[in-house]
Amino acid sequence: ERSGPPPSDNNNPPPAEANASALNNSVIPLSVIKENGRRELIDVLDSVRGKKGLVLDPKFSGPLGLIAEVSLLKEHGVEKIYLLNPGRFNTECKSIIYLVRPKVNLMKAIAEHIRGHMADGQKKDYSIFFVPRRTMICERVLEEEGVYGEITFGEFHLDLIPFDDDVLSLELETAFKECFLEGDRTSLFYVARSLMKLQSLFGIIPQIKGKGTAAKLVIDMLLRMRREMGSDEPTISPEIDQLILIDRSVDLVTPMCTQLTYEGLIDEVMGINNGILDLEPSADQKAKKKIMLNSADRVFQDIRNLNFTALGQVLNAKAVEIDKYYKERHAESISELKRFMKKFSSAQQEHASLTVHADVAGKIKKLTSSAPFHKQLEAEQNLLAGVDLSNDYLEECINRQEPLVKVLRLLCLQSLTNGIKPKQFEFFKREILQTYGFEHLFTLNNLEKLGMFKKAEGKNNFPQIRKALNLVVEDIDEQNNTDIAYVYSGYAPLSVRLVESAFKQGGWKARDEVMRLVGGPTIEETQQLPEGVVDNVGATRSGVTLVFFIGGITFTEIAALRCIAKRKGEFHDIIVATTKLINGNSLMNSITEAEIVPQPTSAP
Amino acid sequence: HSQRRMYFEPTAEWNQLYDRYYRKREVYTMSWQGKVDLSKTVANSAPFGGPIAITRDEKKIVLVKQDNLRPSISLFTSAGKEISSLLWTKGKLVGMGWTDQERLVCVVEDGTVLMYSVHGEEVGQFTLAKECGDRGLLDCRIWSTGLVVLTGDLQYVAVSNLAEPRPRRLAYTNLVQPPRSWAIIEPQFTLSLNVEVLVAPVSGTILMLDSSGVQDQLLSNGPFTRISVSPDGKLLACFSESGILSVHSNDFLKILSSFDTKSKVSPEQMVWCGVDSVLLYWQGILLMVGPHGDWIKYTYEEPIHLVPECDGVRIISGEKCEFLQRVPDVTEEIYKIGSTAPAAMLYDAMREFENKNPKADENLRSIKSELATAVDACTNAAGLEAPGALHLQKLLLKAASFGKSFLDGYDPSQFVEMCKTLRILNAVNHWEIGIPMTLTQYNTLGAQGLVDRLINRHHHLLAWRICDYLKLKKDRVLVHWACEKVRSPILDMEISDQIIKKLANVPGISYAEIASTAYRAGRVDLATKLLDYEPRAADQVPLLISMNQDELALSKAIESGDTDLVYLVVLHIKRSRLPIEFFRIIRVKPVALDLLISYCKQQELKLLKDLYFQFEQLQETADITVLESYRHLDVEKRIVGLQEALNLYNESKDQFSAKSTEEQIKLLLLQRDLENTLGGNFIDLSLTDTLKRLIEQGQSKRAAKIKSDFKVPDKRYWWIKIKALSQMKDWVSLEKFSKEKKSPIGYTPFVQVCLENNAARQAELYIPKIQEPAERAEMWMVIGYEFSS
Repeated sequence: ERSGPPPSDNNNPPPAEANASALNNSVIPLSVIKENGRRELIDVLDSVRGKKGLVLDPKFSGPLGLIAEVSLLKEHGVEKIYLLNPGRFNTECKSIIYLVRPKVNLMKAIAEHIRGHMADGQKKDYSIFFVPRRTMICERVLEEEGVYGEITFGEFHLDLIPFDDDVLSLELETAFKECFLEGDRTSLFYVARSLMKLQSLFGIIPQIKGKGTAAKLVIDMLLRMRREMGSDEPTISPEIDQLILIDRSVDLVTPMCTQLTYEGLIDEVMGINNGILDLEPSADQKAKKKIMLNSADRVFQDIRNLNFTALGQVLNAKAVEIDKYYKERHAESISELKRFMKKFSSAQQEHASLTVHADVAGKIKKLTSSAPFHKQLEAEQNLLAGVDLSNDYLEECINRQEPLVKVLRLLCLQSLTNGIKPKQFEFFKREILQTYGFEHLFTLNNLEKLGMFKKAEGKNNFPQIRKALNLVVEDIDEQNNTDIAYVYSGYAPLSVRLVESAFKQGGWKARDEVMRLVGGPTIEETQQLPEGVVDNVGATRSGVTLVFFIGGITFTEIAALRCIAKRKGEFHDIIVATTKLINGNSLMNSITEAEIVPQPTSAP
Repeated sequence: HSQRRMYFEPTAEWNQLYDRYYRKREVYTMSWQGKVDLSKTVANSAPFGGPIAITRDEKKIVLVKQDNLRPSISLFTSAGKEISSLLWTKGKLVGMGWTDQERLVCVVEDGTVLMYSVHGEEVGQFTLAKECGDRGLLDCRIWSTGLVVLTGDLQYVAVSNLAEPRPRRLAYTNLVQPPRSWAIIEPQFTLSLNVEVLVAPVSGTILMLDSSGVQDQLLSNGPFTRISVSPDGKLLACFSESGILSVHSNDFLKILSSFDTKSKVSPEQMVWCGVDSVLLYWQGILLMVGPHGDWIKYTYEEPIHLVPECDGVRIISGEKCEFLQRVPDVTEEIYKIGSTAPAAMLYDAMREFENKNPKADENLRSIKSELATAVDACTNAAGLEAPGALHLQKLLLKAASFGKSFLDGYDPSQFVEMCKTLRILNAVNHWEIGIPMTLTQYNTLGAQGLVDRLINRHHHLLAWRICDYLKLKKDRVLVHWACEKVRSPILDMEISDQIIKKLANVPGISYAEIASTAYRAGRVDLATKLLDYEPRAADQVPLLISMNQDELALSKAIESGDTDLVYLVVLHIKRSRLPIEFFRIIRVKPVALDLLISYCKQQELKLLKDLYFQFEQLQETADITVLESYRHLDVEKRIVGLQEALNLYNESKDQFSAKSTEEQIKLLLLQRDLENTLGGNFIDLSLTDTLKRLIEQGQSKRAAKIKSDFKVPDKRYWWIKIKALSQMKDWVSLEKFSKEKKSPIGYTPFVQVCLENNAARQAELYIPKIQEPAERAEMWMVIGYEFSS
């Protein structure tokens, strides 16, 4: 009975052209990536003749929505869209296209479908298109499951998906867990391949920097892949001057902190999925509402990176501006009226968007002004500043049975910044198992393996790093974003401080000591441009740096990177890429092990 | 306009057919003169000036001579130079043909299909025995990538990709006797993109069949003894028993022309010459028939072999190789008597100029405004003179160059390109190479296609020079050259040095194919050495596996970062080695080990357990045991599993896990009891939730006992209790509990749980008990807010 259900609204790819206009202002033409993706998708769909059912990897349906809308799928013969679930799969479609990540568990689900149909004597055509590439291991699993011969195989090479005019993501949901916990480097290989693809579109990137083991592995692969390419490499002038790779494991402190920019808080509180906020119904709004959060919304673009405390003022100013504008409508002369009408539609749009954001901000405000939120924030700020947390607060969080992710985020923050004493460590572990269940023994093991929650042993480097990189800035002015520390109301994300120092005179080499403290290898490489290719930075365009976060990046870190770019003025742009847009909760959820407990067959 | 004067007559080799001209030009005198007798042999040639395969015609009686006893197939260039010869021992040959890679395809009566390189080496083989059954094959047609055979039981079978043969039966025919003739329309010309077969049965109609069905074209003017499809696939020439040649559109809707040859004997060969005339050959006579019923007759005293090309026909005889084609329009325009076309005027002007005749100037002036067109036309015409006709090429280029010098800002790139192309065409046309390729053919095939043909024939140096000249990638040439080297009997050291030296300065060049060739030639050390230079792991690793170099393959796969390659090697080793050996290899490669573990967790938990056991990783073994135990819905089974895990944890000295597991077993036992005595669901609840549920069910005493059994801290217990009581709105019990003793968590939580359950009045009771004045005040404020709203 768990056959692939027709997707609910939630899982449907979002409406048409979700981020189309958001890509228009990009410093490098990121829309090319989207266009290529669409074109390839059409080829994939057309490769199967006639009407067909499309079965999507549940983890991939959202990102796919950023590339293509449902109507495009329909135009190319897709009758029905399903999400891939194990179990029986009932469909009338004769041809079925699976669009999936190359994962073993998904292969098993597909095999179950096919065997089910065979048992019922249903004859269907099956195609599997792997995103981003076909793997032997998946084919092997299908072979072992005995359905290999029934399937036509193909590839859909979509890797980096543009989310905004300065944000790209591979949307590899499990990358962090696989790479840093399980030692499965598949996602690093995909990172390297996606960078090769970017280089084939935008030229060889002359400067490459990287911090952390994963960054080093990616850079090694990147250089190797270029050698493999030999004389086939693109001979176009570079449009990206510098690549900075940051390994998430170098800075696990930042994602543990509650994000405090507007966009970051929306993600913390309500969750942003594939650039969309699903607004729950409220008193004056009956239906669920989907809100696109990207730079195409001009109001949002102006406020997304603001610290939440500065938001009210800006929203008010905007309201006044629009109001003033509406008053202008009592224009005297024809020309004034004309000017008014010209601005009318854009003002109307802004007005609508302002209403939405005032509503969203109101909802968030309710939470941020509550005592528990303050207490949590205070705890985080204290930890970052080097003040130990009282056991009482943490214990109370557990005793209140606050969400486990919240408790774990705080515990990890304590462990990462100030360390946890052995006795305390044992105590909390036991409290967690007794309160949230024995299965979290593995969650705790995972966190310990990742070094996020462990007994304090040896010297703690964090205080030194904090000092050297000026992570905690006293008396930050949240209204004026002079230092990136404004994003966390006084804490500058370590990851972004690293990027910032790469830009400074002498780069990382000049900061040998602190780079050593941060841990993990530090790499600075120069790539030789292909023969005959000239770098035209400065002459015809401003500089562009691509910052790639391996293992995920938060919206607040993106805000901090935008702050750096803005400070550099017209001379430098930053494009952000990552394996996945994350927040502390999603990161923590990806490494908790709740699903090992069997689901009871009947409701209690 | 001035009168043209002709200096010599290129038109001498022209023949008029209605309103157009054809030219027949000798390209080579055959080197095989006197050695090959086309009257006693079957010949088959590859297009694009390709090689000729010759074998004895078994239908023709031959005087038995010593060397004729052993059947063989000989391969010659278009100039009649022997490339190779192979002994034929495979049985009765049904037919031969060529692929676009210039592989010779030989189809044997028993269904065997063999493929040979131009050097007579077998490069592929498959069989259609299953499809043709006992009655074998009668006939076959071969095209650039596939073939169609007619089986003994008069059915057709197609193979569309010879590289990966998947025989496919075409629709069933009702034939009771072999068709009078048949032909194929190649897939690139059909709507379905599948090959179609045209069959002329005795009944006189034509059947068109593919895999989906048979279509009777309902013709009555047959039976047809010859069918031939035009090079563009659009037209069909059909020769009927009554001697009438008719041309149909390929959908049979139109008859475009009909010509009575007055010969009841069907021609030995019938081919298209380009797309607008048909050549019919009877012994001694070659007849060309045009679309308007016009014809040209050529006489041949000796037998000939016709090779259709996309733009003409090669005519091969014992003496010579000729090329017959329609005179290109631009050439006609220049040389036609009385032509006043700008290109013709320019050509004349150049000749006058060479003769120091002032008429040159007059000619030029007369075409002043069209000079650029004239230059273009002469350039093109020069190209169209290939193959051969060097003097004409030269004259036309001279004319173009002459005209060019009077033009300002004329883009010379077309002229330069043409000179380049002609240099290449003339080079390959040289009789020692023997590829008589026209410009049209070259444009169709492409430079890379030509280079491939040259390397197939081992003309590596020429191929390399062409690549160099055209700035094409030389990888394929060098790799092919190296592959030939490793097959030659030179010493390993010497070869590898030669190869590495030559390939060193070509970045990214692939060594895998060379290594693979060396390996197949039995030179394992050489193969391994060369393979180490391969930059692409995806090519290197599978080859290392096939060479049984598993551990090296694993290292290379890991180095590449491509995890799928690592899996490829790991699973190969797992399959091919003993478990103990597999574990030994994998143990020292952490990257591979991690991948294997992750694979096992999803696919083979059992193997993972074995592996941890082998490595004496007790804690991990215990972890897996716990995971396994959770797969049981049955509590008893789960407890057995946990017990096993507990022992392992104890052994591994992981005290925390051991203690937790022990407690979990205790909890499960307890929960099972609770379910039995109280009913409801307790299993899989955490300890806290178990306590909470008990309190909710009024089992406070039991809860208190469990609290002390499991050493639950007071603080937590108080929280559990007040949460449970407030959620049940049991305010009496809550108040009672608050008075039991001094609360270890203070009284603020009491206020909060009441408020959470919308009981502000109850909350009020506890505020005075709060000790801290600030907190008390805050709670009053909160409650005030609650009341006001």
